[in-house]
Amino acid sequence: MDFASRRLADVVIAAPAGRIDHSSAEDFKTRLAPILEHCTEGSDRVVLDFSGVEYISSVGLRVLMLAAKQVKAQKGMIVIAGMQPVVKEIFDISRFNYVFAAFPGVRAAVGDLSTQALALLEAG
Amino acid sequence: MTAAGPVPTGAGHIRGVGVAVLLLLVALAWLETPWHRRLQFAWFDACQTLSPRRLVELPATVVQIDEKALAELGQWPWPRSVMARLIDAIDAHQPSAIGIDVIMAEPDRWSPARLADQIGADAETRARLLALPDTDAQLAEALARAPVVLGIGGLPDTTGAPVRAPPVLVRGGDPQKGVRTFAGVLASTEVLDRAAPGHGLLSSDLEGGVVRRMPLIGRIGETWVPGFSMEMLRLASGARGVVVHADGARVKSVAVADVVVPTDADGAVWVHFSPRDGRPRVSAADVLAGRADKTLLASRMVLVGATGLGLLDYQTAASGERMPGIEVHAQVLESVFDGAILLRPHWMRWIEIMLLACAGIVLVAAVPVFSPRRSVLLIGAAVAGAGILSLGLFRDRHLLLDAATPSLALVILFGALLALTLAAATRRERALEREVQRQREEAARVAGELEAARRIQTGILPRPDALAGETRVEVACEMTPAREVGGDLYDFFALDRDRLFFLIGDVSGKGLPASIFMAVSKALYKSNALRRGGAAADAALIGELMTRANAEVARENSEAMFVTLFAGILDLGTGVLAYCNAGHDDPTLVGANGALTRLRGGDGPPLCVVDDFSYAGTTATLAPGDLLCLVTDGVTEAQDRAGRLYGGVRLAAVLAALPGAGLGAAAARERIHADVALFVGGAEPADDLTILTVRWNGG
Repeated sequence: MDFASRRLADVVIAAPAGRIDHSSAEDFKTRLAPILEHCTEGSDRVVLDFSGVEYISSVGLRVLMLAAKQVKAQKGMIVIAGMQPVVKEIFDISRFNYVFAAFPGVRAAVGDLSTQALALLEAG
Repeated sequence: MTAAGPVPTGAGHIRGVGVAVLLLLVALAWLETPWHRRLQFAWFDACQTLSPRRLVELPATVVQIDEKALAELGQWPWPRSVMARLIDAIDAHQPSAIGIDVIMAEPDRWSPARLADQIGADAETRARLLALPDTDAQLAEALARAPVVLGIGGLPDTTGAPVRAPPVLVRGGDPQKGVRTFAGVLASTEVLDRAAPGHGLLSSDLEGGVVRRMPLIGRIGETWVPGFSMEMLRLASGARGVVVHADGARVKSVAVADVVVPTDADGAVWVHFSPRDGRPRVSAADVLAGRADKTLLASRMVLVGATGLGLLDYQTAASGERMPGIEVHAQVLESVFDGAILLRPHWMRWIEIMLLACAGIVLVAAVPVFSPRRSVLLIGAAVAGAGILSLGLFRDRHLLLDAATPSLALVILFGALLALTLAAATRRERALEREVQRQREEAARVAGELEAARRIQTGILPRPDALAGETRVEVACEMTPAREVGGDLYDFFALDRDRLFFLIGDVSGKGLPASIFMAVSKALYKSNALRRGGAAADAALIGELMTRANAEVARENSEAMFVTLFAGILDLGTGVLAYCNAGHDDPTLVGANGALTRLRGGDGPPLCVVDDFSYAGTTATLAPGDLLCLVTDGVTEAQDRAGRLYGGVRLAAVLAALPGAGLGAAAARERIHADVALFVGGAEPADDLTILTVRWNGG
């Protein structure tokens, strides 16, 4: 699994790539932790860019569950964007669409979270 | 990892101790204890044995008062008249100097006057005896004629006798305190002492009965006295005095005319011994009889001394050989002529300390991390290197470097380091053994837990005969646990005469926590599901059950797991199914005509994911003969050897073929399982695999 993150104003875009399964879930969790730490009320909003994620197992879903719980407790905002069909199906089956607001792409997600960040994104 | 405790890594700790031991050894080496000096002497003596001086120049001849001379001339001491004749006989050959290693401290007992007293002679005989020349006077005359050096000795107490010595000029400092100083003198009788033109100090300090060093300059009382050899050189060269070159309080060299002999700081030199054979020597008897080889005496320095074994003037030399005292002086003279004087400059100690410190630091750094074999090679190289360096300096530069002390100190240090290193290795090994033992116990404990978990999981599964006698519905179920205990769960039971409750679920994660979590989830359902109402009430009930289970399970959820769960209540009379789905794969309804319908809706996230989620149930109506198929992801995510997933499409194909075969719930379940097994081949199942089939045969 690869992991990249970038910031647009008050939005942090975290982009894991590859398979998130038992062998990579712990790594994903570790990489995500410092980003989640600042995802609090009035602070950073987080977009999980899943366009590069090919598969996510229940172990990976557990990491997302913990992320959602943490962000909820911190009154922060976290959304997910650009899921590939396989991942989308897994999400639908396990009803994680109840957990995360999902957007077709990063642009839509950023637009929903922050006009300022969207302006930066538009500006390239 | 707490049980094993900290495993000492060793190296740092050992190095600390090693540095302390090294400092102690350096301090001991610096203090030069008596033991240390013995060790040094042993090494220097070994050097003498390994590399004896080769005879090159033979400037001195020894005239021996040996057994032959005693046989011909009578017992020792000889009358002074004989000594006078001996000196005259030697002097006749014009030697460059004559040294007498005999101190004649009392008047001659053979003098005529003494003789007269001793034999109690009558007056006439006495008168005739007294008319004869006095033997002491005869010798004094002989001494005065020839270039003779009389040996004098130093005594620890003052004697009051005058000290006669040539002028000694000290240049470049004041080394008085450093040189060997005696309180009193032991000289020949006044008449002899005064007559002799030269006086040289015979005394040397023996170390453990062995002669190693000879002073070239010393002091008796307030008088500087040259060593016996230097005085010989002075007479041979015709110089008036002896010059001492000093550097502050240290003597650098002693010189006579143009012969400059470097010395240790106390004005002494270490004698580099050669074997006794090969040195020219003549018996005093032959000299007196005129039989001596003239070339051995002419223009040579002649040393006269007692060598007869009965005369007991034998000393052990550093080379280990016993030799007469006169030979030692001959060896000193030879060394001076050969430039083979051995020196141990004061800075040699620093070199030894530095060697010890440097090699010691290398050992301290290396031994704790080296294998014992390499460590032994290292210490071997250090000791051999010191020995070779020392021998090389001894042979080629005539310098005395003590290799024994640094070597012994290094061996002691090495021993300490090796012992500590081996002890640390043993401790590590024991700690490892303890850790392995602990892990074995831990594994046994986990295996026991897994077995317990398996019993929990299987023990709470519904009994196959739970619906015995019921014809309106068939239920078949099979769970194949993965290698370790999994988190799949299912259950079914009659709520009352007309209602069947069933559930299937999957706890994320494996092992005992998942298993217990599953048991708790099921128990919650069972205790809450036994209520009665209509279809709408059932839908509300099942939503409410799910909501309560979610809240309660979430509260117990210390492991941060989640559960996907599908629960349903089937009215056996009407075929109405009330259900609620918490994040589980949608069940498939297989129609009697082969049509497949996914049961959607009535859903929410898996339990524990959103703590306060409010689940709402929904309903579907089954036709008689409809088969409801519920699976866990052990089916859809079963992998073959190539890692491909079984998938929902293949499952759908199997399901679609079921009605055509007219199969009941149990046969349908078997067909699905067989197809999954076929797909997987021999691959080890990664997850629990559970299939639950419910066929409603109509009310």
